[in-house]
Order: sequence, then C-alpha cells, then structure tokens
Amino acid sequence: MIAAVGGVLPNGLMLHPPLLPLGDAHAGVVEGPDLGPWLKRKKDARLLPRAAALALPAAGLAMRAFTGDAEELGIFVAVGREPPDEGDAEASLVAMEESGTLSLVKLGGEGRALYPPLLPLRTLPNMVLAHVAIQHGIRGENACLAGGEDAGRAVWAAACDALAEGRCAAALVGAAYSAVDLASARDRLRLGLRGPPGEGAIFALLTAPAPLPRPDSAWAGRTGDLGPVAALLGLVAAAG
Amino acid sequence: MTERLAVTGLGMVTPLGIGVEATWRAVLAAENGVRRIRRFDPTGFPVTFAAEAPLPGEGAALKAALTELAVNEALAMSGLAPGPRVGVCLGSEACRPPWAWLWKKDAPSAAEVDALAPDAPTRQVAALAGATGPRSTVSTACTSSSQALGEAMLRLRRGEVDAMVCGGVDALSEPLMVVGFSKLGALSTRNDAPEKASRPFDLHRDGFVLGEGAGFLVIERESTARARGALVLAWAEGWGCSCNAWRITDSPPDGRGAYDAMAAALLDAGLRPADIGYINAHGTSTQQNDLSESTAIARLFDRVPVSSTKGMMGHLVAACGAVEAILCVLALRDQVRPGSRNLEEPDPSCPVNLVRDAERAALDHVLTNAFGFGGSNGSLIFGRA
Repeated sequence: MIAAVGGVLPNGLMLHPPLLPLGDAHAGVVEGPDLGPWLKRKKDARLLPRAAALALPAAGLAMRAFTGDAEELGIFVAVGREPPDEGDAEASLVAMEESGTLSLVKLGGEGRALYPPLLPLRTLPNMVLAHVAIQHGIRGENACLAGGEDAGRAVWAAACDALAEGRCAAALVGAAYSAVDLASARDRLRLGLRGPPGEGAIFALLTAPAPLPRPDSAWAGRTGDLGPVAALLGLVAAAG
Repeated sequence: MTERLAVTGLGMVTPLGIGVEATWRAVLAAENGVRRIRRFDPTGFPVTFAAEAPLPGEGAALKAALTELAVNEALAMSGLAPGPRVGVCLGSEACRPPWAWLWKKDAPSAAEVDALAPDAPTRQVAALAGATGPRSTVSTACTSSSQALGEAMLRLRRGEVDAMVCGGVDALSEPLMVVGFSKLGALSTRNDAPEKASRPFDLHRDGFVLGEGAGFLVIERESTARARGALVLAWAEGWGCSCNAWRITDSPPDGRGAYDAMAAALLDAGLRPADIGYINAHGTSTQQNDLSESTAIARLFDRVPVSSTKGMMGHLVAACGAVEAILCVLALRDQVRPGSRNLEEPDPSCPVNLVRDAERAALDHVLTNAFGFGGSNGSLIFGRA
C-alpha cells in the first residue's frame, strides 16, 4: 500500500524548475529549493549533492504520513551516475595549469589547497540515501542501486520484497537524479544523448507491497532525462 | 526452511596478488601490499602510497581488467554454466575519468564515457558469465559489495535465480581521489613507512590506505550445486544491513549501526553470537571506524577472535566486502583465522579479542563486516561446508 508520495519534478523542460504540486495533503508542494524545513543541521547543506537536495523535500513530504518507529523503517533509493566533480573542483584545476596542461606536481601543492575537502563525499552515489536516512533517523534495511530506469524499478521491487518478508515494518522508496550541471551536460553530449537533461526526485512511503504504477504518460517525455526517477513517474498520478 | 546457499566459486585480484590462492597465502603470511604509488608520480602529494593491484592501467580499463580476471577465476572454479537463471549483482561506484582526459583535446568516445558508469562492470560480468538473469548494481561506498552479496542471497532464496555471480571492484589510486580523501583527513600519511601505514585497531593508527582490487563469488542454491556435482566451498548463511542515521563523515561512538547489521545477520542465519568463531572486521585503521566497530562487537559478542585483513591490503572500498567474504570462505575451508599486520600496540579503547598472527582454529561460522561513508552497514555470515 502506498501511504504517501512526495515529489520534486521539472516543470516541462525547464532545468531548474518551479516545483510541481502533487495535489493533496500527502503529496504536497515544495516551494523552491529552500531546504530549511528539511535539514536538521543547516551546515549539512554544504555536503549535499544536487540529487540529495532534491531528495530531501520529496522524502520529507512522504515521511509526513509516517507515524511509526523510524529505526524499523527501510529505505531503498535509486540513483544515476555519480555527478562529475570537475565543476566543483574548478578552482583547483585552474591552479594546476602549467604551460597549457595540468601539472600533477601542482595538484599536490596549489591545487590541493584549493580542492574542496568535502567533494569526495558529495559525489558518492549513496549520499542521497545517507542524507535522507540521517534527516529522518531511518536505521533499517537499505539499498542504493545505481543505473537508469531499471534501478528505479529494482528499488521498488526490493522494498516490496523487504515488506513481504517482514524485514522492515514500512519502507521509504524513491529515486533522485540530476543531470543539469555543465559537466553532466558534457558527458551527455559525449554519450550522444541529444534529449534535454532533467532532474527530480520522487519518494513514496510503503506500508505493504504494492505494484509500481505505470509511468504517468502526462509527464513521461516532458520532463527531460530523469534517469531512475522516470520509472517512478506513475506515482504522480497515484498521488493525485 | 529455505534452501541452503552454496558458495561454489571464488575469484580475486588484490594488492597481494592475482588469484585466490596467491592472496590467501600472502594474507596468512601477513605480507604487505602497500607501497609507493606507481600509477602516477605522487611527488609532492600529501600521501604518496597506496595498495595498488599488480596490473597496469588506470580508470575504467583497470577496473575492467580486474573484473575480468576475478570473474573468470570464480567461473572456472565453479564450473557454472551460463543461462537465464543466472543473475549478477555487483558493488561498484562510478569510475573517475582518467586524469589525462582533463587536458585531452579530443573528446573521449561514447564507449569510453559509458565505461565510467557504475553499472558498466555489472554489464561486463553478465557478458563474461553469460548471465541473462536479473542484474543490479549496488552503490553504497565501502559497503557496496557486501550488500551486493546480500542481495544475491535474497534473490536466490526467493527462487528468482538458481545462481548468482556477485562481488565488487574498485580502483582509487588516482590523483584527485588521493587529494580528496587526504583533505578529508581519512588517509594515513605515514609516507616514510607505507608498509606500516594500515594498522587496524593499533593505538598509533592514523587513517586508511586507498586500495584496488576485485572479488567475485558464485553462490547458488544447494539443489542446483548438488545436481551438477559442484564442490561446495562454504554456505552463505546470513546477511544483515542497517543505516547509522548519524552523520555523513562519522561513525556513532556506540557502534549502533554496526551492532544492528551484525545482529540482523545472526538472526537471518538462525545463529547465536557464541556460534561465530571469527570476525573479519571492517577495521579500516581510522580512529573512528575501529572504535565504533570494536564497541559494537564487544556489545554483541563475548571475546570472539577478530582481525582486519586491511593491514595487509589496505581498503579496497567498493570491493572490500566481497574480497573479505572470500577470505572468510577460505578461513572456513582451511580452518584458520587470519592475523593482523601492524598490530604492534593494540588500542585499549578497542575492546575486542584481536588475532595477532594467523592461527589454526575449529571454525563453523564466521562473520565479516563492511561499513560505508554515509552510514550504510553490511554483515555477512558464512558456514563450514
């Protein structure tokens, strides 16, 4: 059974969207990327990759319907490729330049001084899972699967199996993805992906196994590439 | 009662050697796999050493080479036939672009970029094994391949597949990774004596050592293994996982997440703490992990012998769970507990019964831990065949 849904989705093909109202009290509106209501420790904002920043409001909305013990809640998250980190490391890379190339010696010196110390943690793919679990005190069974739409369907199945087998009392299942930064756009071009990139996050609170609704045709195709989030677009209709 | 799960194939490449037996011999002799970095010139870097695998290459090509060797060894040992009832589950992170790409004038090809994806090794393994069943890629940092083995066990128990090829691969001896993790303060900086840098549970530990490697297991339903006459190396008995829900960079001092994962694995295996004869600890050689993990072990177990093989081979990150699971299978096969390299002065704050030197022991069940940045934890239990 789907108890609640929260989502942060692109509006049409816009890259940084106003957020989509999902339609009822269980699937409310997120206004902008203001993370104030969704972060226990404000300083954690500097640790958030974009996908996690999208995931926090989406998961937070779904969790509003949760009344049990979060220590027994499972969490199952699908993510895409790790975000390239050259953008965040730009100052460091510029400092490494020497005669038109990049100097390893300079990376060990000036470049290292400018390298963002938290960057390795921002680019790990399980950061979406980690931030959502920390915000809500979720300590149960977990999975973070990487890939495209298949990963979105796989985490749904994993959550339903965990519920059916009694390995968690309820499950927060979702996906988060962002491919709108410059480095991702470059990689998309290199991969020959010509469609528009997108970003978004959808989370659902499951209290019993449930079939994954078919992707909402009203949204599929209008959102840009949503990676594993696309598989969960049917939840928009289910929430409405 | 669900059907038992048989481990029938093992394969690995580690900083200690190519192949299962080469690594195992080196582990039992407590040999050193940590040396000055050879993948690039680390002069001027804050950390100049790593636990590199004995293969040339870098980036995705290196990961592919590690994967191919380890998977082929596991498949050959198992004798597993390809087919639609064979699945793949892999622990893997995305691969960083090769350092040279940052100034490369010609854009890399689509295939080169695609090879960096976290699920690229999963597709490779499926092709090598002829596995056309379900496949998935787990990305939970240092817990990735432990969780991949756990998911493989769940799929087998549900009857979705007859056999799973599961494991992990990682290769992080790369300039930006060395800089990044050293800026986090997570790496040992013992540049003057790299062979002494990885020292889990030692009082003078100062961080972990980045490593490279791959480990793969073939796990199948007992009926499938028996029907084809496969040699059962060990039983995959239990799997547990948890989240710390604590902080991104720290482990909870009370070890609660680690405790939960180990307790869940015991419950899953139907065992009591006293049934476990050896724990291959995550034991990264960082202050926090070793304190947190040993506290959790001491809460749950009564003086169970513990060692961390990261003292010999550093931290293989996404591959460590699978490689250390393989070491547990070998410990059961040979009835021996691996020891601890560089354990010169045990940290009195780590209240566990540490194994200093490899020792003969009657082992029926062993447990291995893997814990990741962000707070994902995994514990696996194997039993003697």
